[in-house]
Amino acid sequence: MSSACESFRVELERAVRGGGRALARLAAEPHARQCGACRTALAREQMLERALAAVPAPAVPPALARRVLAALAHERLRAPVLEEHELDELLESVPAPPVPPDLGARVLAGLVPERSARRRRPRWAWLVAAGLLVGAGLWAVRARSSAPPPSPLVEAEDLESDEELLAYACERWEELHDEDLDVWLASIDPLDELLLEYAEESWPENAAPADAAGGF
Amino acid sequence: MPAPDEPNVELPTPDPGVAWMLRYQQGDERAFDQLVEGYSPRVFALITRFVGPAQNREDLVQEVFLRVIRARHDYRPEARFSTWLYRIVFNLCVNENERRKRGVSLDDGEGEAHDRWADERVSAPGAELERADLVGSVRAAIAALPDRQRMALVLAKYEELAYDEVALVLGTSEKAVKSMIHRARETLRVRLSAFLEEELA
Repeated sequence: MSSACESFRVELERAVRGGGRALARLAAEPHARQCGACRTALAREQMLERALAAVPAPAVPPALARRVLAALAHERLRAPVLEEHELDELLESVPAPPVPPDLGARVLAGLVPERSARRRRPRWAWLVAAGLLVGAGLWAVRARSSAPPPSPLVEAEDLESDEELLAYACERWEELHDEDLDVWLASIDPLDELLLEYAEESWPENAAPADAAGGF
Repeated sequence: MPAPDEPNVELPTPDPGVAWMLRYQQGDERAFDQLVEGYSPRVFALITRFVGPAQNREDLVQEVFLRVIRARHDYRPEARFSTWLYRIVFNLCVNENERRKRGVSLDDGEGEAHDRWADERVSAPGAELERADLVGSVRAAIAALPDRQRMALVLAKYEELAYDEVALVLGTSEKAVKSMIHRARETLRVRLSAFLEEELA
């Protein structure tokens, strides 16, 4: 291939970018008329250009844009989800609320009546109030110590032995009847005494267990 | 200064697409309507040339603009708007082709690509029929090209994008685009040799 052919092929390559018109211009070059091989190469490119140009543009359906917009309407209405950095930027873009000038002075000025009323109370008023409080406290302590404390109710299960149960029962009896149990026991007649002895003998601990006798 | 391999595309002024997109970015919903009205026919045509007369082309157009909605905050007016938009189209089309290949499981070769255009072929007698046959063959030959070669050829030939803009769409260098288009044309010349030799004779 001669240098003339080589430079023609370079021009041909360039003309391909320019399409049919550029190729037609190249066909008018003297080398294209003189060199059969280059003329054929040019003709092949021109044929290919014509073949490519013969393909019509695809038919675009009518109202395509309208349908596309209708289909995307939902997506466009959707509220965008903010990225983390976008949220941060938004939050940081909120300015600090402006503080009114001389705010502290005005707050102090508003509190002047309250603060001056506190300052006007005489010292003796505090002393009287303190004295009254101390007196009331002493009276309450004294009243509590003079009254007999009510014995708390105890569940039978909390008492560990029969002696404890008996002692607790006696205590409660004396509380309820407001008299000494021993004094009362001394006052009962012999018949009652016999009945009490019988009851003591019939106490479940002294009797034979019911389940050992075969039950009821 | 752009990187050595990075195409240096001067932003033509005014590019209505850029203006609409920037307005939409700032919350102007009417600007998005204008984008769809202005660009959906071109997107539809590009998708058709790339994936063929598929039934779901309109869905793909919707998907393209859905991605525009979702990517609006990331948009930077660094080139023509169509370059940015076509990049979305290209990625979507490649995904669509992959999806189809998985679904069809057969080689999506020239024969099948030819058949896919059958519905859109004109039925006419004589010379018209021959022309229709040529058109069908050209479409089939283009459809059989590898994805990147096909998109490079379609963008350069039919969308009249400069090679540096094609490079931006494909995410490659201008030199690579030149090579891709050269190889695509070589392949087409071989596949369409019957028609070309006939005409040449």
